[in-house]
Amino acid sequence: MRGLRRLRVLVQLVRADFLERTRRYSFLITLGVMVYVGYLAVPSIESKALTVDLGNIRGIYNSAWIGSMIALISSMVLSLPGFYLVKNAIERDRKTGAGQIIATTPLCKPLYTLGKAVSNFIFLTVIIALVAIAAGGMQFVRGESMHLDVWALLTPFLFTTLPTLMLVAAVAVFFESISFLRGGFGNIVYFVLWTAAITISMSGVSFGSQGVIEEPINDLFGASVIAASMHEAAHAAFPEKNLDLGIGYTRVEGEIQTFRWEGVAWSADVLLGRLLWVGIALGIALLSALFFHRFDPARGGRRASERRGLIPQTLASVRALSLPSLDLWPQFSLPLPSLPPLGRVLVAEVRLMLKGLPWWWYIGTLGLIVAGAVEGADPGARRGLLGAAWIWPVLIWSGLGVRERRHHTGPLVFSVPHPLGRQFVGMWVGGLIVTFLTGSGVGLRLVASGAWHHLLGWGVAVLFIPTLALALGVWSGTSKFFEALYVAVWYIGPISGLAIFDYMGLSQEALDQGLPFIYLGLTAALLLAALIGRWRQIRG
Amino acid sequence: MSDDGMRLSIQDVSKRYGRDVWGLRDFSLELESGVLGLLGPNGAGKSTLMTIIATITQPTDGHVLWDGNDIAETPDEVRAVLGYLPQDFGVYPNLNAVEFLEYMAAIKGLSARKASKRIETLLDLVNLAPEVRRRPLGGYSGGMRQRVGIAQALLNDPDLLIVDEPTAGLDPQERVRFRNLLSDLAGERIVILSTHIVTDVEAVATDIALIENGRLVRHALPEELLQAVEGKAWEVVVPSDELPALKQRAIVSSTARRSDGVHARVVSDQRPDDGAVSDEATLEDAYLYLIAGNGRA
Repeated sequence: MRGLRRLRVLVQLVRADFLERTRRYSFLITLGVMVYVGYLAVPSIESKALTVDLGNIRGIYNSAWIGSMIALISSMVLSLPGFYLVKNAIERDRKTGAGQIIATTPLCKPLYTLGKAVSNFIFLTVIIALVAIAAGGMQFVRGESMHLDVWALLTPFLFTTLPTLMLVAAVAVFFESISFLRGGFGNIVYFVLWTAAITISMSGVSFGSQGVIEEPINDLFGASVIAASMHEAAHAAFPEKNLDLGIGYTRVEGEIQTFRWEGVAWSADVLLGRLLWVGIALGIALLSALFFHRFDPARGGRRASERRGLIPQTLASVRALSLPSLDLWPQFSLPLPSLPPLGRVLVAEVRLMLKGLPWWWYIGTLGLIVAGAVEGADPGARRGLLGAAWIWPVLIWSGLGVRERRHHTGPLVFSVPHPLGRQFVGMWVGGLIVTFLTGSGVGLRLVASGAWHHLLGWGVAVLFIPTLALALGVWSGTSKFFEALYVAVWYIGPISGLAIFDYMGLSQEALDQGLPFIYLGLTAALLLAALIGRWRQIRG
Repeated sequence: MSDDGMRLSIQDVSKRYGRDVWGLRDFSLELESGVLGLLGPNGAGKSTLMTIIATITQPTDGHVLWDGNDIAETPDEVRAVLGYLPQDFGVYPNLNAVEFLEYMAAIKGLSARKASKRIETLLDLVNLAPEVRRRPLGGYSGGMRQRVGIAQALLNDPDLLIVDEPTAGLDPQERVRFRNLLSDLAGERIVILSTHIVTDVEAVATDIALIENGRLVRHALPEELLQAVEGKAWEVVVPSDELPALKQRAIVSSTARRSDGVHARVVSDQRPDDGAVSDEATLEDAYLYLIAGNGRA
């Protein structure tokens, strides 16, 4: 009886979350993107592109190959945005006040956190189910094999993607249960973990002389299971070839050869390896209950204001590291200086951005400026220092355009005279000033050394970063979108060196391709988009 | 300060949400200096009307004119003289009260000197103690935050002051203080006070608009509304078990249990009971009679 009642509670928790989420545009957008990723994962037969490359060798596009490719890529791709999509289940109960009602029911904490994890998992599973159906469609679109083997098509999703997503679902609940991981800081921590997981997983599938060594505990995404099976089949078909595995969209030179692969033989060992991750996920979901404070406003490591949901999540996350804050703005406890109206708005906006940050944030900023000014001439040091300087304020930028919604000050701010010409401009220029200041060490060094081309890239980045944040903030209404996208682009471009995303103009290749001018044009378009978005908000 | 010709004209304003949900329907009202009490039940359309006048929402049909100019076309004209306290608003939790008001003053375009003086005056006026003013707003109680909201609405000494449920969250003492403040402000500007607390309106309104289902039910002076229920307020004592029947046939505005039975205050065209005693009508009686009862017939 008791078990049945608990099950009913669980079902109701899951149902409410599921309905709420699937009625959002973000669900449709993610679904669309994932189906498109599935489409890209199966390049046309005539093209010289591969997504799973064994050295100009690929499997025939049958159910097993297509299902496995798309399942593997979905595992890796969806586990990033999927986390951001579902990391709001507890937060929503907190914000709506439903949490306090739930807290007064007999529902126990482990059941609640488990219920939220299951809810997250079901939501992600629905997305994957639709991607799997699309994968079946892709087999017939490419038409290389017209025999649909449902088992071979779906088992990779079932045994590789779903355990990964279960872990993502549980980790999201875990992050929500811990106060300092709840906001933007947690989003960044997850990105770092995700990057590490990808790296470890991919290192496990690089072929040695004995082929792929399966190490389930290193293989969150299930890549080694699939890679080992593919390697075996490819080696049997082309024993003379030196097989070299690559995952990701690549264009190849020369002839692409094919072989028939019938899929992974899902042995008990393999399934146990995948079940290990499900077990870890369930453990994490239950462990979350230890940190979940059942919406108790007196607990959770937050100040009273934060408990009422008044402090920006991002700043709260930074501050929750329990270090004392230092008010570096005592002079502004006096009236704002006598400046023209726009100047006063600008100072007020900058103050608003920086207020409440912990003392170590300022120390870190100062350190980056000084280090940038001293070491910024060396290209290697410049990449590291400017990279650090322009990830440091990410939680400040992510508040641009979002603050009015987050704190519900829109009715006050939008009913003042000239809200676009005054407050919007002040906010944007304030964002530029923060970007300029945090990157000023390297900027000074570039001026001193006369590296004018790099200075151009630097200057464009000063304009681009806060404008991107503002546009995404205004249109999405949430800081998460910018935080996830910016950190990803920052990592792929300036840090990893992929020129097309090097918006800071750090690499010579980016400068040679004239990318600063492209990013300048993009900045103008983003500013226009932000302006239109804010105009729409003001017009109600 | 305002001109003598200050005038707010609401002309056939309608607001539709979605396909067929109407927040306001053909709402017209002419306002000059004074305090308008906007009374209506929850969901009547009061906040919709307020947000339209505050230029936050665009009407689906109709026009709102401020001194003859359509506020949809030239919103900044009315914004320059507008003070707005929404029913539901937030603050920036890391700023203290002074800093928040400085921020609001800056984006409203007030000069530094004017803002500085005004902020101190207003914080005194809303009774926010000097030691509290320097504390982050995030730690404020609901009532304290409401007082900061009231102060921000008055920053630019507005000609048009719109306050939506302003006494929500205030303790009785602060509520009286705010009512007195509104009374003091009246006469110099147009004040629109939206509430469903009749006693708040009774204390300060120079005229009253009753709104229900998005439509204007009545716009009149308080004494005109009282006249509408003159001789219709009764006090009647009934046994407890007869109270449900009394509620079925008449509007019962209040009840109190005594040793001789339930003392019920009734608004009714006819004497509700042989033992009923006529009583002096209040604005609450008028409100119930016109909104919940049959007074519109």
